[in-house]
Amino acid sequence: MAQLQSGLRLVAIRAAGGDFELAHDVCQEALVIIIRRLRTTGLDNPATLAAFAAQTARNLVIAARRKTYRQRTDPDGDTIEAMADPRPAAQEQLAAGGIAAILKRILAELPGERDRTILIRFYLKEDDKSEICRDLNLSELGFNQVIFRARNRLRQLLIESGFDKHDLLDWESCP
Amino acid sequence: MSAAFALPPDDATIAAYLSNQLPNHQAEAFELYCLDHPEFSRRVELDLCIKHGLRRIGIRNVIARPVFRFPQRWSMAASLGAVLVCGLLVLLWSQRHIGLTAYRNLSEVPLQMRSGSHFDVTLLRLRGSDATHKVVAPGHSGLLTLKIFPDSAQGIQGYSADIVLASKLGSRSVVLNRLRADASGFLSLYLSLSDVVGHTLDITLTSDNGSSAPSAPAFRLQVVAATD
Repeated sequence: MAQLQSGLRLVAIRAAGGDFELAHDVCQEALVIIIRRLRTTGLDNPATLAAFAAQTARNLVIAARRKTYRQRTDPDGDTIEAMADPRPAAQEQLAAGGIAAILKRILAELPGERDRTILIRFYLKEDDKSEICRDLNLSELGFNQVIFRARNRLRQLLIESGFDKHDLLDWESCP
Repeated sequence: MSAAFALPPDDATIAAYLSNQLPNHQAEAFELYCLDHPEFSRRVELDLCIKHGLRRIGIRNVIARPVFRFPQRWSMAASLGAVLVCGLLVLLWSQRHIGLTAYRNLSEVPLQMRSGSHFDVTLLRLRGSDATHKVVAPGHSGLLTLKIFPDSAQGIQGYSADIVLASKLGSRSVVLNRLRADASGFLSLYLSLSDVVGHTLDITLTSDNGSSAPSAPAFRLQVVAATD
């Protein structure tokens, strides 16, 4: 079941439109449903487990959306403002001590400005790999090495920071 | 339900998936492959992690302004220095090659210059005329003799000629004092053709005692060579 988690998270994140919190909940719920199904009726064709897991996650996201839509209410802005949590917003907390901090560290550790540019252009600006290579006069091998090193360093730092390898995107539990 | 990829998706497909640019059926196939291949899936998750992490910390925090490190600064300073030195050398070279020497009488003219071709120009100032006189010299070398007729001035013993040579590369000037008019009332100046061909000469006469000649005769000559 642990083998499914990573892929399931990807399915849930895309289905939830990048809502990591919803994706996290859906992922947990989907795993519970899959385990129950396997322990009760099972699957006619075990080879379809991946497809079944993916569809379960997608269905759960749709159900969660419907639920949210049904429960939608008009917010009382003044009251909400008055009851605002004085603690920093979750995003700020995350930026202060979570993945963001780790990424800042990784960026700082990069040997040169060029490597930082590669990461930012590739991941953040979503520039085409060949375009980046051409602009920076870089071979594809050189590009892959930069990405590979950054990815590995991130994995290492995440694990050092207390992330389980199965919880890479469980950002809410960032230390 | 889409069928999973048979082979590991390539980098372009991964990038397209991460930026949500894959068509739905391809994205589903990609996810099936991820579910079947946990190691590959974790790699994609790491990429997603970097992508979203960078978004969260904000591009302003991520992109530092370019820092000039010492070697870069040093090389930039060296380049700038080299450019300045080259510029200075060019300037010096050009200044050195804008020569201007004038002589009061023929006996002062070097023998080498005297042995070359001679070219005489007589300048008579026409009142109210300040036009540029274009003169065509036979060649680039030899002697240019300028005979200038100053306005008749009673009591002026001598003249000074202020000669300014202007070219694209700069200007040079020379002043000849104690110029005496000959019996016919002309002042003579001797110049090297190699100095003046291709340039413009401004010649102004003043009296030797400092005051301007009665009407401050001035001439402008543009000297070109017949061979050009």
